[in-house]
Amino acid sequence: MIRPPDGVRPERLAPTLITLIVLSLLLMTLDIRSSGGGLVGTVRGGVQELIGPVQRVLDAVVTPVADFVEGLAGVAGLRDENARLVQQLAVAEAQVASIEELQARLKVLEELHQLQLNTGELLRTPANVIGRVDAFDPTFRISKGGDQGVLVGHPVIDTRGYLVGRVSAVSANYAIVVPLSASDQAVTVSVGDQVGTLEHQLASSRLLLQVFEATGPMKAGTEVVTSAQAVNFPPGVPVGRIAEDARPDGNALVVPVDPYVSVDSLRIVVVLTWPAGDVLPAPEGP
Amino acid sequence: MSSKRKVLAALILVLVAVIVQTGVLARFRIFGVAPDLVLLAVILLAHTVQPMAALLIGFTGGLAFDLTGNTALGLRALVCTVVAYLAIRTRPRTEVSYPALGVAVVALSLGGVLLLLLVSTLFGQSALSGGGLFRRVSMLPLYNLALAAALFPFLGRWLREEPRH
Repeated sequence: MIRPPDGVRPERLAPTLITLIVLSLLLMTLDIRSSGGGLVGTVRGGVQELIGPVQRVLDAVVTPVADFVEGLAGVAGLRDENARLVQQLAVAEAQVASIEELQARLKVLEELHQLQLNTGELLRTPANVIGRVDAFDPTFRISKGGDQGVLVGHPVIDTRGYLVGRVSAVSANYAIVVPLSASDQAVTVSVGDQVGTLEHQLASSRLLLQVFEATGPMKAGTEVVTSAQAVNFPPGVPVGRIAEDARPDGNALVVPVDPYVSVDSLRIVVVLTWPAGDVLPAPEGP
Repeated sequence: MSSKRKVLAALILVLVAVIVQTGVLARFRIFGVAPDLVLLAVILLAHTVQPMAALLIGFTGGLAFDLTGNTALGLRALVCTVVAYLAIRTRPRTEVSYPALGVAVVALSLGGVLLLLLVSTLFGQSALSGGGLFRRVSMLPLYNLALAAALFPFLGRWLREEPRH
């Protein structure tokens, strides 16, 4: 039997309870109004730096066990996934073969016309996912931060090149990433020659695509990529696939999109320096 | 254990729970859901320490949890404070037996999650985003119950200990 100590009568706790609730609401308002910056952002960054090393150690120990447990939980779907991956591999090999042929032709044409293309690539920073909060906070912490060139707003992709989300907060050695499925900012995307905005839906893992000047229907399975008109993301990054056939209603078209990335299973991500050249200024010498 | 030492130990325990939650438990998402060790720690500690201390430990634990994530600072502090208060108020009923405490863990975890969703939505946070909301809401209290059952053998001696006045 549990015998709790008698102390302050619960009825006398009400003033303290109300004070703490009001304090919580004030802190929330302050944090939201300052958009995560200011004093709150500094304190949060400091806490990240404090617990980051512990989380790195825990991550190294826990990841193999977590993979094993998740493998057991998903063992029923492994055979189907394996068959699907074999199909994808065959398609990818065919694409590689055709791309090699195109590259050879391109090289010949470039030599004929003496072209020198600007092939500057985006700076990529790979990082481990080292911390999550709970089932109701989809953001996650990564093992790279400001000292490694990661800045707030940088796009994040997975190891296959699919769009994950954006960096929302940065401390010296760690950063927090907000996935697309939780971001309050829409992404401008392209589906074929149509351009629309993609945003998350409440209580759904699907994203919602809205095209306001639709030129035609969309078929299920069509790939959605970031548009050249997107400000916050480089163009051409795959995001997901159209979930179902859709026809325009007047000029507008609204259709759900299945994102490629499952945020829960991410272990490694890649932070892109976008816009290119968006890096921290080098420290001035003495 | 003296009352002050017990409060200090409880405070350390809830901070350790924050680190274990963000570094370990959140990785073990079975069917997309992980238990909430911080909420569970607040509920269990509210049954062992002085009521006022339990309330402040709930607030501190929630605030520390807020600082590790990206949601608005104060969101989980509010939830943990209210849950700690409810746990204190239900103490006379849950001290009857461990099954009663188990029921309280499930009910308070469910209440905490619903309050988190409500306040989070009111403040424009992203707790409602993502699929399987019903699954997440319904399974978390059960995971917390399982975790509480696993922790009882370790915390049992402390929970049973008579306080010194």
